[in-house]
Amino acid sequence: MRLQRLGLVLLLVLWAVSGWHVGQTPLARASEAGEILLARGTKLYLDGQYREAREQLLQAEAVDLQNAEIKLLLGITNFVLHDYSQAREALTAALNLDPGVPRGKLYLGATLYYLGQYDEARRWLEQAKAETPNEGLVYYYLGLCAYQKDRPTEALSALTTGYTLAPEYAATFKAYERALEAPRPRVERPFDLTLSAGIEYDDNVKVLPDQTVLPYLATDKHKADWRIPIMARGEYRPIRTEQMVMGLRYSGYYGINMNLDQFNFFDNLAEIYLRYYMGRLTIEPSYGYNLTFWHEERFSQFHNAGLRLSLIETPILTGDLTYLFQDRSFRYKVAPDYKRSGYLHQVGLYQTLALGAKGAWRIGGVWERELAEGVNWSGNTYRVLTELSYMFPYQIFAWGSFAYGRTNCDNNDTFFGYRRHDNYYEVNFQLRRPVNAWLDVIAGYIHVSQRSNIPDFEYDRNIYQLLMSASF
Amino acid sequence: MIEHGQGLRWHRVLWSCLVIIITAAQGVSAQDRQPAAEIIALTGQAEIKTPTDQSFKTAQLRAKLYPRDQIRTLAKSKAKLWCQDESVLILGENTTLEIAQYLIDEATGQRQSLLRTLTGKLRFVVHKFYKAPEPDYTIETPMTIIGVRGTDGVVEIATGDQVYLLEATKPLSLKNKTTGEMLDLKPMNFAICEAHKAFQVKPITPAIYQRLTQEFQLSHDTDPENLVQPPPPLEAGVEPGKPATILPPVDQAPFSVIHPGSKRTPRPSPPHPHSPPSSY
Repeated sequence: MRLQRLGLVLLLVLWAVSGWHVGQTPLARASEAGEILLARGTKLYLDGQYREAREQLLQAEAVDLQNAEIKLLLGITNFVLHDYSQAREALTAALNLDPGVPRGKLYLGATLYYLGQYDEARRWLEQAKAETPNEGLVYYYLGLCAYQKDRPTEALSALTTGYTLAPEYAATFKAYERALEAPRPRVERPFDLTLSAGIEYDDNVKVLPDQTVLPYLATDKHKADWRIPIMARGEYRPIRTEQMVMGLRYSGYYGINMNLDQFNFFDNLAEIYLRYYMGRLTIEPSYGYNLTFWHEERFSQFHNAGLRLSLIETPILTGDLTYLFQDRSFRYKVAPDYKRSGYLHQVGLYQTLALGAKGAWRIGGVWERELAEGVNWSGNTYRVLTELSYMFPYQIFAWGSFAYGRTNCDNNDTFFGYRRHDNYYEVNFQLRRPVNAWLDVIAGYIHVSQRSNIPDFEYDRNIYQLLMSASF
Repeated sequence: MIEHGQGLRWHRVLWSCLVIIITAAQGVSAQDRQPAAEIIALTGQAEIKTPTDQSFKTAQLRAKLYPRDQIRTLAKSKAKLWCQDESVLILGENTTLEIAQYLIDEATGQRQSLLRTLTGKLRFVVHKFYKAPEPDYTIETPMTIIGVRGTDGVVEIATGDQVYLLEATKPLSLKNKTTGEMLDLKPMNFAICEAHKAFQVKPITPAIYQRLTQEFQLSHDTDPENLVQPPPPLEAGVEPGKPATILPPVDQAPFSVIHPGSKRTPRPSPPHPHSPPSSY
């Protein structure tokens, strides 16, 4: 019996050592058919026929399910075709079959980077670094992951090592180094909050006309004042997937005038929106509630329904089409002819051109139709606007805009007896510079000028502002 | 004059013949110089020598090989060749191969190929497309002649040749050049062929199988172009599908435009100037 047991044990040992058992997973060679399909796929890949190469490699994969070489090239081909999900699947399978498959960890790390899975990408890239410490591309991608995770010091260090090890790629990756010196896009968080305050000088707080036919408006010509503005802007995005974002946003402004406190103005706009991504197209319907107070009394209440369509036309050009409907209610007492409560329809079309990583230029046109209860406000407004932003050296961010609007009222003015026409001009200019990671200082200037065929509607206004803005 | 004329005619005939011969020779040469194979994967270093070269020259990925060319791999190097008939040859390190003859007629499905492996190790995966009754793909080593009919095998040249047949529907035809002995090698067996000795046939053990698998693994090693050309940081999206710009969305000012008359974001307009502020 003992001999039989010994013999059995010996047989088991021999069987285990021989490798001819089910549990063994040796490196799998491509079969004859698989090798030919792999070679055919390789040839097509080298010829730049990536889709045809993928076809052959998928056939090869079906023939040799356990072949790491086939899965590696399939992963690379999917990577070239920007099909990163499929690339991840194939490269992961290749590494499961053969953890030593050449550059597999680098390719998988890069694939995960493009999928936005920066932590997982970093894990694979660290493994690749441990195995091939002189591979420059591993450091480049580690740098890119650190860049995306908002770790600039680590990103710069990794990129510098990448330049040293693989200077032939330096020019390509230098863009990231430059971007690290410029303000970067913020890592997507579920909330944003910005609080701002400062001092402003407004030379026409009352928005008084330059000259008026109404004697009671001319009694107190003092219309300039210093003001403390307090502004808040917040956004909360509780639902975020790859396809959509649903969130709430609020913006508020409270202007406290030093002397003309009866002109203190408090504006609140709260919105709920759904942003849905369909490839290059983003659709964003929203509902907003706008409530304002003038001198601590309710001034107006709007219900807004909006829709914004954004299309990425080219990598540097984005188009926006907007529609806004407002149900407007003004609460101040006025003669029936001057009641402004009613509805507003607004359609806007914009083109935004990215100026490299440092700026953008936008041009747009807006048509607006106002329908008021009183006769004196209903009309059409046509507006063109343009704005430009640019990041200068020393992190000085400049923003400027110009808008021109033409309003044609439908009805005769009750006082003058003819239709009112306005020409509206607005110029904004702001300079902003960060003081530290969360605080900016802002200097701004706003000029508004309205010319009208009815003198009561003509006015000019200049506002100079110095603000501090804290972002959380 | 007649003699002179006859001499001229002879010259003409002679020149015509010469032109025909040269043209024909050029035609054969051009046909002969169709590429037989291309390097589709390479690790380490490989070199190629054409019939007119005095020495080997460094070969790059995608280099083409023509009949009568030689290719050799250096130490720690491997090369994979993609042949015109879709056969695959994988050269191990320190291997020298000559494409002695390579004739393909796709119309008739005929081929006649002769490869000479002078040193080293070679895996051959010969395409079965050309279904010749007799072996039409011959690999010759200093010791052995291997007739192939669509199969997957390995030949190793050392003091004696070792020929492995891995997966095949038909046996390999082996001939010992020193003894003239013939052998049909069956799948999953290998034969040792030594000078003036009979073939020794042994089964391929798992350990041998694993060794051969490892030795002839040659992964694609060309980086995808977008690996070394990542998009500029501007496109490394802040939001999926949306490029980052440093302008706010079209319906939001970058900073609160404080006067209530702002037209872009519709806000309550100031009261009509006909109404004095004190009236509300």
